[in-house]
Amino acid sequence: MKTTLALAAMAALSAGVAYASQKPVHVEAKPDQEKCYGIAKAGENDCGAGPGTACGGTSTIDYQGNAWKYVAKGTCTSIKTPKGMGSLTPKA
Amino acid sequence: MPALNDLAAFQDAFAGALIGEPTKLTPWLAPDETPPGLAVYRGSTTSGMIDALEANYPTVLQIVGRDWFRAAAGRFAAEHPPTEPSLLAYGAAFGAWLEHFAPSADLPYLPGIARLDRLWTEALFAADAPVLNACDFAAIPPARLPFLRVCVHPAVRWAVFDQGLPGLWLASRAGDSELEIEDTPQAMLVTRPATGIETRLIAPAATTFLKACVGGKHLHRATADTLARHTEAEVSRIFAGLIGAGAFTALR
Repeated sequence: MKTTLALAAMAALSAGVAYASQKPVHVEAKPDQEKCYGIAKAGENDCGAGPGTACGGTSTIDYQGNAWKYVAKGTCTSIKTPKGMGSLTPKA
Repeated sequence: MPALNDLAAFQDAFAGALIGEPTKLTPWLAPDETPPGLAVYRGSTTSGMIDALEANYPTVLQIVGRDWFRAAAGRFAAEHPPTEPSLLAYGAAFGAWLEHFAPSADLPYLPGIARLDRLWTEALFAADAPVLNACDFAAIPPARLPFLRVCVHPAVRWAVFDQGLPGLWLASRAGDSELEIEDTPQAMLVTRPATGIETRLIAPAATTFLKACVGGKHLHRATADTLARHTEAEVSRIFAGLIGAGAFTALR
């Protein structure tokens, strides 16, 4: 029994290797494509970062307010959703 | 009462004042003094955290729009300030937080989308490791393959959902205008071969195979696990897909 399973696995796995070999050869990274972590834009203490910064000494951000006045205006308005969207919790 | 020349104590008090506990700075201030400059630091700090969340959750941002996102991110940041100086990977808890955020109740897919954004960030900052390609596997005698273990690349991430959130995520990232959540289980794989991060849909059965590999099982056991849970699974296609995606880093 165990031998049969191992043989079946061997057939499937080696067929997998054969399939994978048919695909174009993996492209190697060019030497100049090194990762550059750089400096996080988000971490900059930048007064020019737009609304939300407070160079004038007064904060315009009041995210602690009780009234939630923001309406989602992105692509969510055009997403078609199936019924039973309550069951969207990830399984794994 | 901290020593007034204790830099670490001052920095802790300053950090506390920035996230809403201004009285911590009292020992360093003249009586009844409220430093107006604190608002500048508070504004810049909050803005920095929100910018970092925006950078790390671009698909969520796209779905809800900037106003909604920045307002929600501000609330999250107030509750979950960064725990390390770098903001590069800030916001690990954002997806879970969205699940209990009342204004997102109408968007039940949002926490899942956030989770997929997070997988991308995790893959980006995972350790470097070589990637095995098809030639590496072709060099192994077929009879030996079932009795080897494959090590999954450190940047590999995946998630399985009951519905088509991965498809929605991929379409959003690709800038598609037709956005739909399919009512079928879907799984997404994130890999980082040398050329950058790759994301793709995979058969949910492939995640069973990956899980077995991560658990250190031999390939014949990973095959058996996969077929036991998904009787229709095509293990050869799954294995080929994972090899092609660059999911493996070593054989042993």
